[in-house]
Amino acid sequence: MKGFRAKKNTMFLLGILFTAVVVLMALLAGVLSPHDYSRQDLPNALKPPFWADGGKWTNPLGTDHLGRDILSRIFHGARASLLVGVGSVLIASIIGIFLGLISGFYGRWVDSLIMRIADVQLSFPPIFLAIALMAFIPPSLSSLILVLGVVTWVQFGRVSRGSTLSVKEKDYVEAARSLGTSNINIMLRHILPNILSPLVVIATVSMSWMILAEAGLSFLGLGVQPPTPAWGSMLSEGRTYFGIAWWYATFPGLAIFVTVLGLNMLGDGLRRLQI
Amino acid sequence: MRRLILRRLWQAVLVLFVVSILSFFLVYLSGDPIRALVPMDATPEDVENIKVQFGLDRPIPIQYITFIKQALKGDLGDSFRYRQESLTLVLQRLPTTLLLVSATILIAVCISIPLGVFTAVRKDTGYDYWGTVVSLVGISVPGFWAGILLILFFADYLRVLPPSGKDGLSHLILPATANSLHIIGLLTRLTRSTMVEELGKGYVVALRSKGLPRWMIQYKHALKNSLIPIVTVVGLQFGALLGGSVIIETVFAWPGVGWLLFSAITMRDLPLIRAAVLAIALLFVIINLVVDILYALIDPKIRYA
Repeated sequence: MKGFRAKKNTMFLLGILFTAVVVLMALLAGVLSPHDYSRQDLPNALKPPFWADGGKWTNPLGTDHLGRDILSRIFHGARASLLVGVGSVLIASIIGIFLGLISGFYGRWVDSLIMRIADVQLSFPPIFLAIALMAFIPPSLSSLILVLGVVTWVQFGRVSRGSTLSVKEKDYVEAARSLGTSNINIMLRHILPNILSPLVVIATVSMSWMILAEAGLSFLGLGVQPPTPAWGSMLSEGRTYFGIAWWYATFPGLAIFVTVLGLNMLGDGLRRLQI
Repeated sequence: MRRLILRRLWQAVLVLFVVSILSFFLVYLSGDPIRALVPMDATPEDVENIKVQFGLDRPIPIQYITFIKQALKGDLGDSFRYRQESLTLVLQRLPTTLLLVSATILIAVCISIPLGVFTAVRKDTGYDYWGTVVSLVGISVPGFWAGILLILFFADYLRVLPPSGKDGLSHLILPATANSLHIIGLLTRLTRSTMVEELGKGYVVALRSKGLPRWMIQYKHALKNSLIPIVTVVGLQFGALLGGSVIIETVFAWPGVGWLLFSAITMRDLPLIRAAVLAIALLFVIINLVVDILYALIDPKIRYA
């Protein structure tokens, strides 16, 4: 039992480590990258990683079909992934918390209306909504962040509403009300700080979903547009060459996997801490 | 029961109304709806014809009514690329997508339920820990990347399975496996947690004291009682897989609606995109309706709620 808990803690620590590595990669991409991520070197196209025959230390993870350094592009791709992850979670949580607070606080028809909208949206998987919207909107980083935020607010909304319903019955809210505090003040200063903790776990797990969704959409050409490097679009380009250059699609995919795994392990650990 | 069915039907109608509004406005998101609905090489006459056909020269509410009338007749415009009715193209590909989704669910259920039960019974042991690792990896691995790795290993290196296309059962194995990894992760976790809860209940102790074999308690009694949340998630995942099929079908060149939608996206074939989106959305509504009614039939608690 003790060993089991220690192993689970190891997973939590690994989650923190993986996430920290990806954040550092994104922040220090300019310093860590051995080459300029967009510099083409056609004579050196599709060179394998350093340990394979024909590989060189100058391009540790090999090069792509235009001779660009894959490691440098993975470092810079971390920026796009994290930007989308953080940005879309922020948008989803702002919409969700706002609507959830109003819904739980005011109840009655406001609650019914918002929850019916949530029900309708929940009838469709978010990835499907994102693909449908991005197929029509001109693709860019900002539209991607906005769309992913809009299609995933419901989870934040439902949890905020549920917590608001229980917190608004507490004595200190009643006390604030009897002192004549305005509704907005009660919501923002007394209820909001007390409903945030379950939302932190949802935010961590949502971020892993957002990063997967961004990679999937970029893979389809609906996400981050070239020449900005993104892991999903690198994977998509690499797919064309995987018969002759296995490394091209493998490493960007590994980067997505490690990032998502790290965030999920982190989310798991945070959930256990709360319980 | 009849009241519940009527209520669910009413909700489905409401959802359909929202879907119709959204799919109507989708072409407006692209900026110019006329440009969105005519091919790049269209002549001014073609543009005029489309304007009249979809009523694009009239006020928006009238345009919406025209769109609904056309949609009810099954006319969602011709695909630019295939020069055929978009809806017909989508409906032709639908069974292929449903085949892939069903195979995916089958693989996921066959692996994750026994694995979930196995780890629940061995709660807090090394087996349980490795079960957790497997489910975390399953949840985190991008299906399209797993697909590429599976092709590299089984089709390129070992040459035992075909990398793409749809010619028989062997073509189904790799895409369905890649597609199922995420659900295997989700379902293993869920089965484990619901089974742990069930195994701690009083009736399990009673059955054990009666001397019932362990496997019978686990599979015949506890698992049976854990099935409702599991069935719920399987139902939800069926819809999610339909939506996510675009990516996996593209990797394996699986000729379903997903791949059709992807090629329509790359060609900016907006009438075809709209038809595919509308057809998949309709399918979600039908699946949700059927699943809701099935629950009510299975579980009296839901029926009388």
